[in-house]
Amino acid sequence: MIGLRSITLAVLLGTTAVHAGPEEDRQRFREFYQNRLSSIPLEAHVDGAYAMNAGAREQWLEMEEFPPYEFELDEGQELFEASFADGESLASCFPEGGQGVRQGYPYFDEEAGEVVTLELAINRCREAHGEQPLPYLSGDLAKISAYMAYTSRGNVINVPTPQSEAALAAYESGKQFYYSRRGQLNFACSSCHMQNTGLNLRAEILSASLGHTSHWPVYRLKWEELGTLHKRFQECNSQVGAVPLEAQSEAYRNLEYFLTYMSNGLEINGPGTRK
Amino acid sequence: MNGPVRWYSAALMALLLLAGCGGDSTPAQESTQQAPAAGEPAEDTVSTNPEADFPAALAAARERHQQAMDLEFAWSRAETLIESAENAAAAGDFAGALEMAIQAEKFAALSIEQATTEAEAWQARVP
Amino acid sequence: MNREHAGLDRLIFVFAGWLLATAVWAADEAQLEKGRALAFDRNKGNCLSCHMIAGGELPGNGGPPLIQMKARFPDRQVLRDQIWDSSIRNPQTIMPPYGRHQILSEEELDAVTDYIHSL
Repeated sequence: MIGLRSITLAVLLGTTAVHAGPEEDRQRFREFYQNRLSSIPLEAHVDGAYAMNAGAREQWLEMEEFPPYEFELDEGQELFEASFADGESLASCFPEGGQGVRQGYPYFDEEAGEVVTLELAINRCREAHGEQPLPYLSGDLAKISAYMAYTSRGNVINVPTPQSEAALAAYESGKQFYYSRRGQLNFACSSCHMQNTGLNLRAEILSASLGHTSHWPVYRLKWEELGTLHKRFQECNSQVGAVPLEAQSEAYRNLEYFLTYMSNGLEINGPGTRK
Repeated sequence: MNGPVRWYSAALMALLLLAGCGGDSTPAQESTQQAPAAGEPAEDTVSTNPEADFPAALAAARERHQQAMDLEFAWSRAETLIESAENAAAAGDFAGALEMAIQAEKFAALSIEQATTEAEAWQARVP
Repeated sequence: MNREHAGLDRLIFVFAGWLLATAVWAADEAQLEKGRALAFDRNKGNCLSCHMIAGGELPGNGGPPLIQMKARFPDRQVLRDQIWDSSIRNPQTIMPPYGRHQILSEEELDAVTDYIHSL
């Protein structure tokens, strides 16, 4: 449904030459934050709201010295290295044995015709080796994802530019999701994270969307555990009074695709801690 | 009618009139923009038999909410109201259940309206 | 009508006037208090997430501070319309359409409008 609509949209935009293309989108996205938050270097946005307030940053840095996700991260490594029943392990499914590969996800799988996120790839690997898929919001999958992010720290996000019609349609669908108002409160992602970025919602500073995907999974203090990016998507949707979509739904994967592409060139710094 | 009584009645009437408005110094008539949106059900009449009317109202609410779900624009208020309506009906409160089902359908209709508007409106927000 | 009666008339008139003023004042106060409670309630108006309001703790700053409202909105109805759906005047506003999306009932909207207008 969404896919079809997006394809129609992409075709329409293509024919009327309004379609700027992902790389131009990314440049404009960066320029937006450069202009809006000119005192903050673009690369610093991987720290979210902690890039914007010295006091909050100091507290956060102290917290990161003994990060609350430490145990889950260790468990993630054990889970990553554990053998499946058939003797293989997760390493067999990933390039470089799964070490330092976070920056290439999500990507558009041309054969399958869909966006593949890291979490989806982990579960598909498990299923290919006769294991049960893991729940997507938190727990073991978030721990494995955290370990894989950890081995990729400092690597530069490098999502391949959508080229094919299908990849562009997925990208456009994610972009449309990002800018569409949702829920009874009528907020788009961009309402808070572009229009009001850097400002306060009550006492919370609204982070920039540039860098939004760099630090996942995140240990949120109010979750008291590591959670995945799609858990946060659900939370955001709920907060504006929308019925959240399924984690790893096509719409959320497309949103992650768009958002991550916008952050191409920034460093992976996951897992992270957030309030 | 002699003087004091006349005075007193007049003052009392004025008092009652003004106090009546004072509690709601801006009557709802001022709300000029209450007209239901196009396509929205106008079911504001009080049902004489809520138990009989409830199933159809619930079905209508569910159907419209499902349309919003398919569009991926559904609102949680519609969802929770449908649940509350079901619970109220199960507890025998059909008047309350009917009211909630009707309200749920209104929210579902608003969410579909939002999906329709946003199909175009989002583009104005791209930098 | 004799002099005594006229005096009593006046007394009753003054008393009735006082009663009236007190009743109106009390009703207005109740309405303002209701509006204030709704404006501060995180699940209702939640105005503080974006607007500074005197007496409200930890306000956000996404929207303008709510001060001198009678000067900014001489016509109460314009303020009410703004809360009902501010996207009518500014399509890209991020303020939720409290009336159009029925976040507040029309009655609640009146109370919030009265309170905000009093600031």
